[in-house]
Amino acid sequence: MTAPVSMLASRLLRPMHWLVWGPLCVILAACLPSYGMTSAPSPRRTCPEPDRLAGVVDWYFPEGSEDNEQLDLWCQEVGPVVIDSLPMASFGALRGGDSLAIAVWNTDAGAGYLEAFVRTEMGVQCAGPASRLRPSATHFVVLVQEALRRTEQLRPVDESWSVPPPVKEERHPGSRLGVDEVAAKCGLSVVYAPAGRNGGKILDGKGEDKGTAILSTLPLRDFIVIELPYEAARRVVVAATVHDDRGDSLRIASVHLIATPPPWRVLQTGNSSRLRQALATVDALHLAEARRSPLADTSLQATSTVIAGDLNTWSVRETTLKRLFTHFRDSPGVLDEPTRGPFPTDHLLFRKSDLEPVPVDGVLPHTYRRVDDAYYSDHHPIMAWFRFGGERETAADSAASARGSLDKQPVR
Amino acid sequence: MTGVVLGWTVISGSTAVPGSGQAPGIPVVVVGSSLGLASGAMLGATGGLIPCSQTVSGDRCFRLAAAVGGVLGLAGGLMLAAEDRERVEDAWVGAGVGLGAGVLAGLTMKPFAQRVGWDDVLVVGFLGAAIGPVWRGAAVGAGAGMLAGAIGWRVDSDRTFPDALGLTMVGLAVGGIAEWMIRGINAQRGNDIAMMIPMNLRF
Repeated sequence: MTAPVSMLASRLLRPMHWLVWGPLCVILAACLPSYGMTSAPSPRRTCPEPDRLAGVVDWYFPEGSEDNEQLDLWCQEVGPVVIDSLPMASFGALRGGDSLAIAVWNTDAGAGYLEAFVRTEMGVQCAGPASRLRPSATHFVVLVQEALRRTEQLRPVDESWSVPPPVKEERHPGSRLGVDEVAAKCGLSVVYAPAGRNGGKILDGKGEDKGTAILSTLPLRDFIVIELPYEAARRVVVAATVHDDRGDSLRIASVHLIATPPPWRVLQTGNSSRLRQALATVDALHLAEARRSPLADTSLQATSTVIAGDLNTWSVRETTLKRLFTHFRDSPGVLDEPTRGPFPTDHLLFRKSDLEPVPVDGVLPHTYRRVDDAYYSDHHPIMAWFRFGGERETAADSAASARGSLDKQPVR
Repeated sequence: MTGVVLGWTVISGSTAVPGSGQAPGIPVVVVGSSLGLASGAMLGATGGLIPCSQTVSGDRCFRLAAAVGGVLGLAGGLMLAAEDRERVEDAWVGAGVGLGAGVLAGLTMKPFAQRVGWDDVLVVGFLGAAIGPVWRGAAVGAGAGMLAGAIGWRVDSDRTFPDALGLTMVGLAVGGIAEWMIRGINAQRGNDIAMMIPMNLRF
């Protein structure tokens, strides 16, 4: 027994073998994918047009050329960013101490019945500029992923790698509207950044793209668009801030990470495609914060920030989520209900400002929940209520807590 | 694909005589251990895919799993190749069959998956090539992992479908890598290639 083992050991320890294979193993174990972001576009980028959004939107790109080549191809096929920073209707100001509802929903392009969701769950009586909030409703922000936009500004193109086929939709009652059309119909402010086409065809004179959006009853400001590192499809994060009447701010980012990276990307990235995109989001938001922060120490965060969306996680223990929680340490935890089929894909994370007094306290207790009606989408929406400024609990907070803890039945 | 052909060419061109007791030449040792390394690394990566995605450092864990699998596969391949050219030939035949099956599976999958390119078809082929030489161990391991995963999923409410799938893949990897080691040790001892599976079947 001893002889074969010693013979084996001597063979395994031959320097020739380990000189070849040893470094290979070390290289394999040590490589980490880059997720650095920059506000300076790669010289080869032709899209978005450099001057078009200058001064209105802070745009962040992945560093290096490889991601940008692919992102540019996808970007060329989509329409422009939509910004209606002021709500068309007069919903009034958010007062200090008021609570703000934040809803997060992947609408699966045109499948999700967004107008019904806004009416029923958020309490808007949609009537264009005459739209009103129901008396029991609070101001709100809705973060939409896979938001649909229909526009005459798109040209017909054949489906290809950078023009994916349209999402297969279950038809809902009522009109099939884009996110900007819902915003106009319900008098809301909106920012929408397209990520990719929803098929190449033109229907009724309009082409379709899909991306991330933010709808609100409040004015939106400080727009940020983050093109995430390319992982088999272009993904875009859109962010903006809302404010109360004392000037306290909350930055809100609508995030959609890659679902299933193909096998080659799994090997190339060490199965960290989603992690790469999540860390890129954090990096870009940090750059944006450092650029705008009044604080000398750029490691401190001046603006309270919510990032939420479809993170496409398979479980609540996934690396991406764990790493995001280390950055967004004031998050409300995870929901114990799945939001897409059996998977907990959708999440809301929060980090308070490092300023004193804290402008936004955080998620009100017992208000973070899943909406049981999926409104024809393949994802359930999730919701939470935040309180702006002040230590005291207001009557509005109590009402919001009570409302959030109820399992409401949808009314259509 | 090129690797399999190249490996086969090197083995075929070797002057060592199978069963003669003559030690195979360096080219055979190199291609045998290469196959062990590549197969073990691919199996390690496959096994680490889901469990590592549940850790804080999932990316590093994944690469570590691939590296550990690679080192163990290399050790098994080296032990095998150092003793007998015939066993290396068998392993390469298995890799070739696995590569073909993998590429076929990738080609079948391609029209139905939106973002699967030719490089992805090749990766599935490589996975097939990794399993091919040690398919018995991989199959037994995957079966055991699937059973354990299914039981865990049913019994423990905290376990979900990804956990069950993850255990199946861990089983596949452990079974495959274990077969590399067992084959290597058997080759060193001069035993038969066949792997003993300790199990009782009752009907």
